[in-house]
Amino acid sequence: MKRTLTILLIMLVLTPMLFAASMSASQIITKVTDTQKSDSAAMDLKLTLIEANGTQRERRIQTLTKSVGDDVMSITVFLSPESVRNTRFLTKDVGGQTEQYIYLPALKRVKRIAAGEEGGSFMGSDFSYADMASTTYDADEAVHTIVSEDSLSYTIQSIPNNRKTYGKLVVVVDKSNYLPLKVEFYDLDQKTVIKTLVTEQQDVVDGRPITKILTMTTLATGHATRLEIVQARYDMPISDNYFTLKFLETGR
Amino acid sequence: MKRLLIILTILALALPLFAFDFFFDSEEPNRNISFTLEGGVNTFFSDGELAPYTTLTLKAEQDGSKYRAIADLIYDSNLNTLEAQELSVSLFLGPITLKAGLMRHSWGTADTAHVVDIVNGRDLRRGIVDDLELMKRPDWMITLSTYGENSAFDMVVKPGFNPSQIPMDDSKFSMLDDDMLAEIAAGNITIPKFPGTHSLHDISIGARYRFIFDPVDIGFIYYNGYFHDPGFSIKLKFDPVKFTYVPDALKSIQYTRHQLIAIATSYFFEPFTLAVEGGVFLSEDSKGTDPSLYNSKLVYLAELSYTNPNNSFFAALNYQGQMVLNYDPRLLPIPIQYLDADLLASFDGKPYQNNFTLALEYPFMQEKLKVRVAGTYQLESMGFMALGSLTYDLDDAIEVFGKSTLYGTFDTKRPGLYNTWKDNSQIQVGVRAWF
Repeated sequence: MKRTLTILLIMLVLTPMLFAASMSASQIITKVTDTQKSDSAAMDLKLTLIEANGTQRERRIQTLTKSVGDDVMSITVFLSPESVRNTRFLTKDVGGQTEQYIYLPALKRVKRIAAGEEGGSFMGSDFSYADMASTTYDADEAVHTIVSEDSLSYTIQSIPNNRKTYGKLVVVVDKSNYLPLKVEFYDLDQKTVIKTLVTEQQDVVDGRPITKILTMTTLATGHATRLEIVQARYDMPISDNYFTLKFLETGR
Repeated sequence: MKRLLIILTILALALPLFAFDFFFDSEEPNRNISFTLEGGVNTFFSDGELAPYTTLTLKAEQDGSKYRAIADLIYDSNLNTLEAQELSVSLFLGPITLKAGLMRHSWGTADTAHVVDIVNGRDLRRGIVDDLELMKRPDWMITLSTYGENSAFDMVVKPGFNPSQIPMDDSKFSMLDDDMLAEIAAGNITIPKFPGTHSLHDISIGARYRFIFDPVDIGFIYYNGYFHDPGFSIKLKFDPVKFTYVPDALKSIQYTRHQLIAIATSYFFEPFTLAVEGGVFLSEDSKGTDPSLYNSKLVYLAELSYTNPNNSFFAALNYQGQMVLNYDPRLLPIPIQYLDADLLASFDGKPYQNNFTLALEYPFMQEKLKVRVAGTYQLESMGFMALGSLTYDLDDAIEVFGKSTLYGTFDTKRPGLYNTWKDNSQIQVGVRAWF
């Protein structure tokens, strides 16, 4: 009986490890995506633009995001610097169509603008618009392969099906919470690293592991951007009224 | 009455949207006070005069869940003025936003110029600058806005109006040409007293209804108010020595009441936007017989613009024009002859005018360096204006800039604003700081 119990205990301890060891790269990436997925999110973000000589500039934004099925709506409010304060930016990914509107306080008007390409710089930072949405490819967006594994992390190579900006991503995934620890973004030649993303601090909010501080560096220029989630809330009800012309124009 | 009170109470109690509600320990204060200090030097090409200047802007904003109060003041050392740009309070009553105070209210769908943005008068004391809002004079008004799912309605009531600030003295950007200024300086002509513009008689009211039928948005506008530019005519006398008619006196200055019926639309076809504005001003001088009042006219505008969301590059080509109705380009009435207000405001004496404007903006170096170029060509007078600027961010709070503005004409014999201002071409270098 004692021996049976011992075997059962060993099995209980080993089973998750055996299961983890047998996870495919796509399954790991799916876990990475699911860990960061939420029906709604409110974030207070600080972007610090760091030049190669150490000079820093800071941008503060707040974003609200709401997902219903495959449809995603998000509104971003620019808080600083003063020159862009109260600029508001609305994105609607509805029915496979992306609509983007911007309210410019200097013009006191809402303008519809073209949806950004994934490589476009977000607010002059090292993050592209696509990077701001996700720093990894979804399971079905790329061919994922496990490159290496140690006791703490997986290293996954992701080659996108549609190579527009990046030829390859190499993602180091934290085994304990499935958050990316490091991402290398390769040029279309799949040999040259153009940007690196490094997680500096993790946190837990509402029981959910999050990457609190991360830094993206463009290797060619030495320019870097540190993104800090100052505050975050997830999966709370957000009124659809935030994603409207009224909110864009009035901030209410 | 009781029902109205209940509705108002429900509106007042309706939960407002307030972005920061999600962050209970938000670092963002409800009160925001900022200063913008700009200092620099202007050099006019014509006389090489160096004119140091400073502007200081104070903007204070108090945000409550149901209201927003804004005070925006500017001191301009060139004009030697301390003025309010905005003094307003907004109340957010459920779906309705009520705003009252001194402010600017914008209409129109284009980016570089408008023909239906008429709620505020013009401010031309600084000439043409790269800020459309700064070229509008703030006015006292009450606005009411409400929004549907894909529509919006706003209404404006102005108890009187602030006329356009158009210099009529010997300052750099005077609208009067050298001949007229010489006659005034010699005492041959006196400028009559400007009439008051703040009485019940001067009330203005207007409304706009917009709806979005993706990818088109359409706005309908009605406005009943005054042209903010003063209308006046010049009485002529025959000078036997010069053997021609010369200015004798300015007829009384008047403001013309008009109605505007207009449409402002935009059509988005990725990555471009086509904006179209057009309408008819129906003047109180419907037959165009009073030389001091502006006639009815048609206005029209088309603009093609492009914004690249990846790098914020912006480009726009704008065409706008107008056609004055019942326009008599000759002197009237005879034998006491006056130069008509429409004739004085025209370009080269034509009942119509056509302008082309091109504007480009491109940010470089992670948006630290911005290059802006804009130019306007006035077809009838062959006059032009060109603006170029470079702005470099030293820091989030400090930028340095260099700007150049050129006014001129390809035919100096044709009268027009850019011809009058041809000696005002200038270069400006300065620094701007936010704190």
